[in-house]
Amino acid sequence: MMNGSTRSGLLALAGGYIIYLAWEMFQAMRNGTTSVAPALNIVFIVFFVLAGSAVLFYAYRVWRKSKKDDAEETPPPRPENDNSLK
Amino acid sequence: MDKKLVLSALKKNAMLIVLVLVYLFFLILTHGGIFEPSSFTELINQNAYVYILGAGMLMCMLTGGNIDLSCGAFVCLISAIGGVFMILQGLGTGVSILLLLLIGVVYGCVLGFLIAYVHIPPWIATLAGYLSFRGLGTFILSSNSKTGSLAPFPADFRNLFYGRIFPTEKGVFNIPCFLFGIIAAAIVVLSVFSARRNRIKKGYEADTVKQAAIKSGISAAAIILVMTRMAMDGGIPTTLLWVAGIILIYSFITSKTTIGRHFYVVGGNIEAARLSGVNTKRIMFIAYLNMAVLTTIATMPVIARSNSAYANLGKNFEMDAISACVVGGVSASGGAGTVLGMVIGATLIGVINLGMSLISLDANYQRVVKGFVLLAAVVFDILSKKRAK
Repeated sequence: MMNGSTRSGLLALAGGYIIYLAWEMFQAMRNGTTSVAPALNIVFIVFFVLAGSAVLFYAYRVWRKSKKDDAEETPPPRPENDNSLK
Repeated sequence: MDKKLVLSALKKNAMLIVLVLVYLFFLILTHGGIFEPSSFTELINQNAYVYILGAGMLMCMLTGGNIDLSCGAFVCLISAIGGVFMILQGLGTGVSILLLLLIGVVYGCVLGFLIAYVHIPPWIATLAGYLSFRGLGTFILSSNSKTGSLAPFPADFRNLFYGRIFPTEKGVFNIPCFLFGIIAAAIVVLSVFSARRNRIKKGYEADTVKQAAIKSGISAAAIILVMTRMAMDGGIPTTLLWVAGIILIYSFITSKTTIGRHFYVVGGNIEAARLSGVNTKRIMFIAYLNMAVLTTIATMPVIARSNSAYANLGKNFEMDAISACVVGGVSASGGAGTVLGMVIGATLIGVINLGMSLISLDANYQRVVKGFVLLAAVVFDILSKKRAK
């Protein structure tokens, strides 16, 4: 339930959905159910795959940063038998 | 000074301005088709589920950017069970609705318990529903019907969720619909001025009389315009009343109640909220229970409109609800966002979908537009996060 990790999840979902849209466009082109010119279709498909991947990569970076921040915020465990002062 | 005020007003209402611009764009492209009375009714009927699911998703997202992936598949399951109750078993509409709501409450309690008390991440818990409910719904439909769908639903059920109040012939001016618009507009004007008075009384910064008059005037004019157009299309759609009721209730909860404020506090900083005495587990539980109940309610107008229950019903509904929230300015990290923002986001997506279907745009171009809207929302979220830092 950490904010950073849920935000990264939401971004990953958006990135995944953009790639899914590219896949649907590819399917429509392969089945011949679209009137969009093939060249233009390919341009959009490539763009969406790249944009979706970029969003996924950004989501990964947000997730990694949130994990790092969490680790920094958590205090180190106190040693149970610290004999150094004795 | 005035320039500053105008700029701040433009910034505050950026999404509303985008909505108006997109509407004007489609008004030109459709040669006025989107301004036809039937388009207004269609916009509400087609997008009722987005507004209702959006209200539930907003509450989940407020608690820290958490979402419900199972709502689309749950719509499919509820519609299949509703079909069995109303079409095969012949149960009355009232009893069927109560039983469906009960199923929604049970699912919400289980989901809320797993997320809030067993600490299963919302992603995992709702993904399980996403993967299983559509299969379960399809199994119910295919084992009860050779065609894999159940139809038609009883007329009284359809009238309740897809009918009209005081219906008249299309093209005949419906006076009750127009009066409803006048009353709604008057309430909006009164509430804007009463909110202003309350803020002044408490010593907060408030709009000037001129600003309040402009704000309430524009809202009232928009309401009267929409209701006047709807009055030419046979009267007030019942879907509009359901949607308006839910929007008003959730606006009230999020802005005027203690529990509503707790959702924002939990989303802002869950640890600080817990230390301040907010029962964070209860808030998480309520968010998902509420989402399941609203999903059940959202299913009603959907099946009443399609007049059948089938396996693909509710596909990508979760994405529509999340998009409405994100486009409407709900923070992906939680703790920020309003019902009004979600409504503007849902309307924007609805206008784009309606406009594209009116000009019979190729399905692949529709996907391109959807992709760009989502990308714009992601970029906006990233930029606003950077600016906040």
